[in-house]
Amino acid sequence: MPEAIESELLRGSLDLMVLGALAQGPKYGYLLQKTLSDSSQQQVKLSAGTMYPLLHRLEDAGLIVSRWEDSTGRRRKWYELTAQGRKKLVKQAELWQRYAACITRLLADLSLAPSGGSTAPLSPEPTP
Amino acid sequence: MSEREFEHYLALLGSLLRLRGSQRAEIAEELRQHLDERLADLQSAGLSREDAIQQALAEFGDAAGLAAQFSWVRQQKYRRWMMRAATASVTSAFMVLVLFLSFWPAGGRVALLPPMTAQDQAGVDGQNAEGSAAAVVATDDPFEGRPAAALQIDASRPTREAKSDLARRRLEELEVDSFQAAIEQVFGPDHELRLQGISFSELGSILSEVLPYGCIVDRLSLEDHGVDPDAAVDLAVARLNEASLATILELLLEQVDLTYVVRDGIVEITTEHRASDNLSLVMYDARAFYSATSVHPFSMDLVVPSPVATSTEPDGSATSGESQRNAALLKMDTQFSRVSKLLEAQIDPDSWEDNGGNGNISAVNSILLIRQTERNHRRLRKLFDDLERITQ
Repeated sequence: MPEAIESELLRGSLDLMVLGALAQGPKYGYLLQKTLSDSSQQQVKLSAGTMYPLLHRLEDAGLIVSRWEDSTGRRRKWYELTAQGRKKLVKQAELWQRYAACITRLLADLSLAPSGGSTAPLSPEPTP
Repeated sequence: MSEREFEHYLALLGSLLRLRGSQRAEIAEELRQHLDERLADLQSAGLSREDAIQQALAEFGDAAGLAAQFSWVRQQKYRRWMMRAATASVTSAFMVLVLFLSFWPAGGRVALLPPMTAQDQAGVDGQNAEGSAAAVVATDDPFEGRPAAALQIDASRPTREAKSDLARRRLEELEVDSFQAAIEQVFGPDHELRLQGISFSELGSILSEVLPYGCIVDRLSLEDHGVDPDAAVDLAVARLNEASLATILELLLEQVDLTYVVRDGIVEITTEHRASDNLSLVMYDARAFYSATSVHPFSMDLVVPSPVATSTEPDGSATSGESQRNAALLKMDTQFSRVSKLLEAQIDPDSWEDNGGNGNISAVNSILLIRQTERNHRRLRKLFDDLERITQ
């Protein structure tokens, strides 16, 4: 199993990951955490202490909405992407692809890719 | 390691969250759900309950750090509102000041008071009652020809009504034009006032922090009206020259059929429908109105027969005085119906009894007694004010 991704690298992309996971359908916090962990082969371990404030921040920004629901037998707070959130996701994903492609190219030129292992200081926030 | 640690963690977190009750409870509940599920998962994976508790809590991180994060999110939100409420914090600071002064019941009394008990409150009310009564005489005397002058009539609570009315008037009178000139220099003329990413209940709490008697949100009415008081809104009004803060608030709320009423100094955000059930009776000095229509039918000597007439015509004086008076009354009637028609046409036509609403107008000499909603009273005052400005 690949080792967990450094938190420094994670930080800039967390919003994107959460929005991406919610694009597949509404989720409550615990499920979201599991989804991210599972779909990344346990490489992304988002702690609850990071995730919930992040969710609240995204909600305040109007990118996601929440509602309490008991229909699953347990009272849970479900989060769902808004239209605005979906738009933001598409835009951010595109930015991210460009950024990742750029870094891959750069590292390939230095003959560091694809074996990786680089610990070059990367800015956590992708800047277009 | 015990069950109690779990509860202790949540309690600690709750107390560390620098948030209001409802928000705090909601966050705590969400986290409790998460911990419960994690606990169940860990236990089904074979951990003992105690170990599971320990691990679940360890994954969560320390309560203080978490609480700080949540509070930060809320702080940012608050700050954002403050910024957006008037595009610049300096403007919002001004607004806050205006609101503070506007709703403060007794003029310059802006000393910081400690939280008051009911008894203290009564004492202060007594003082304020004197202060505002004096102020009413000085500035609101309808007989000094100030058209906007309006006194609430409510026998049970005359001073408080007069006081809140005074507060309301002050809100309307404070205009931001000189300040706007400065803003315009900084932000250009396209600046608008925006309420964004904040719910009405949060708006209420923010206003509560600056208003002496607070601000409440009529949650039930809002919900009945289909407005979620906890949902973030995005409302904006173009900046209007010479718009008072009251107008701005009104225009913002109007977009979603909401309005505000001022009761005993407390600002209540409610629905227009609900507000239309709460009518108040206000006196208006209509003399400016009559002079604007170029005929001035009411002079004291028409109502009180002149002593000259009685002395020169002892027999016919009664009849002559009577007919003179009848003519005057007739003229007054015509004037009154003209004025009331005009007002009914100009101010929210559907709200008057003639058109199926609840509002009505009656007159005592040149004083109009108008029963209307708060909002329409505000409009009436504006109209009377403007009229006075023109006729002066």
